[in-house]
Amino acid sequence: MGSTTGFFTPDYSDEIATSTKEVKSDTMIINLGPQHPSTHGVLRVRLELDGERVVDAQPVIGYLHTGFEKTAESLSYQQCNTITDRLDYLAPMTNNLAYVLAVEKLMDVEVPKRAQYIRVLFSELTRIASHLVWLGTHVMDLGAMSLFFYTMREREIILDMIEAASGVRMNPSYFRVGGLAYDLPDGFMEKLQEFLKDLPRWMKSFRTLFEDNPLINERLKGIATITQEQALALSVTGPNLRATGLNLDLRKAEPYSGYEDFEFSVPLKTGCDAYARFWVRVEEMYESAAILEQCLTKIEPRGVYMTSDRKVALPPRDQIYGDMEALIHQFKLVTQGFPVPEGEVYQSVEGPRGEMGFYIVSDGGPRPYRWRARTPSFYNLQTMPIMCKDGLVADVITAIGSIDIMLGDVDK
Amino acid sequence: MDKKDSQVVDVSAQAMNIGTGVTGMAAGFAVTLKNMVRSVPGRNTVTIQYPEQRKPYSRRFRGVHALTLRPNGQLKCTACFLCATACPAECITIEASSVTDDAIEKVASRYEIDLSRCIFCGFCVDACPEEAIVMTREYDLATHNRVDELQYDISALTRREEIQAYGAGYRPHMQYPLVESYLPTEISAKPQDDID
Ligand code: SF4
Ligand code: SF4
Repeated sequence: MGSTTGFFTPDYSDEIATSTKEVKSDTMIINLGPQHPSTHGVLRVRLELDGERVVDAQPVIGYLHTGFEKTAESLSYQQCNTITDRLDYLAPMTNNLAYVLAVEKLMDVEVPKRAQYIRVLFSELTRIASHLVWLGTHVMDLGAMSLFFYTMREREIILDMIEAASGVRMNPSYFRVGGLAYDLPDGFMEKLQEFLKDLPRWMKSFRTLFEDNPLINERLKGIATITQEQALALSVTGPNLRATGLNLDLRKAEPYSGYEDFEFSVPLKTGCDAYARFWVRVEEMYESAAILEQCLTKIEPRGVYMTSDRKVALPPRDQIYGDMEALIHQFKLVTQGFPVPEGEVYQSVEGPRGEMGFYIVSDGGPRPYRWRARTPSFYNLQTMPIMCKDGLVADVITAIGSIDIMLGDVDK
Repeated sequence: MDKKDSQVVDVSAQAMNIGTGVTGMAAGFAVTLKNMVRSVPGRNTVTIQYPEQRKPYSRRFRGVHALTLRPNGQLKCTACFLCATACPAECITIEASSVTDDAIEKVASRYEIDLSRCIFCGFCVDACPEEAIVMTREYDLATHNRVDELQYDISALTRREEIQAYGAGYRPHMQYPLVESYLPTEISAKPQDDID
């Protein structure tokens, strides 16, 4: 009953079947969403209730389906970049990163060290920004209003920095195959330094709001548990997995883009519940700040930001106006794009929500033959039936917030 | 359904818990109160009164496009179609016509950008070998009619005074200061801010 409507028929069907059999006569089916502010987008959860008790919770997805993967097949490799921004729109930089790393791996492009570090810088900035949105909305779901305003206020500073570097706030397309679209703007490092100086102060005031607050703690502790085995069986990644005590962070496990040069630790919790996931994310923000501190010394304010490989990078402007060869490169790159050698590649990075990966199959042409996005929220959302089963209706909201889903990421 | 019974919430136990957590909650209220006092209008507020007040955006801001002109007032665009090819949203329509000019052979007789499709990626600006298309900091695009009013043709893309008032935005491969003032007076004072 009910388990066929969801996109995922869990292996725990036995459990669900037994419980529904017993209470069959007096259960009630309720739709939570898709137009509900606490579902963080257009998620619909089909709840089967026995009074206040949840018998079954099946996420019904697809309301935001945009067909990105198919669209990508008709776009050149540069143009695909703009699609990746829109998958997980709260962390566009890590999506960009996973995609460009995948293409670079297939093409064997050398990326300058400085560009790699700037990529790390922006990945960590978006991680903080994304966690801030999560913190604000999650705590708001639990009934605390004001923290949302404060987190949005601080996130605005990050968006300003992203806008200053890339030109737009939300869909930057800042990382390009071969490096970055543009160099860092003047005064960026000073702005970052200022931000990092402020961060402990506002983090402390945020923590005062929820740290010893019994109302928040009661609503998180022991709620929406996923054990490590269940998490692994459902391909859960990111903070959700690390809250079950498994130390799997791709930044450490398979370092990419120069992460091996940075020192940071991976916050781990063993509680398996919403409380553990909460604190993994909060502590991750401090670790991201630690990485950003190292970026301050590692990245010079000016320098090379794009590979000089004319097969992938547009020629510099001054050359286009004066140099015939550069102009030909410009025409060729824009009209045909760059051909990517035949083959397939998978590359994943640690996004704020988990493993963000791209699987690209190339047939040797300038457009991907297959473009597959492994988006973390899609997998994390599968835990809904396990987390919500036998809980209270109010805890469904906690469960949705605690796994930090992003519907653009789920529906693609 | 043992589990069901065991999960019955003990209200009195929770009430006890809340009692012991009073200090934690009081600290939280203090933070809220501090923020409230801090944000008395005129002091330290982050909310801006749009549209009277506007946020300053950087010189890289990717807003509505502008077509640049030659000194004689002609469009710089030579209708090479590179921008239309680079556009991921396929929203640029160009028609070329020939001119009897020694230096330039082609000009665009029709140049339309469908801003209802445009995703403001700036790829067209990157692609143009002439810097004939640049972006401005204009972003308030709300209209009553998306069919006509968002189809920007040559005359809309060359509204000099309006565009100048918003300020120049993204141009290819240029370094800009981090954040500049939005105000048109300041912008026109700087020669590098001119669209043309
Ligand atoms: S900004 Fe992007 S979407 Fe808009 S016209 Fe230019 S290339 Fe096309
Ligand atoms: S790329 Fe530049 S010159 Fe070519 S058609 Fe577009 S605007 Fe005109």
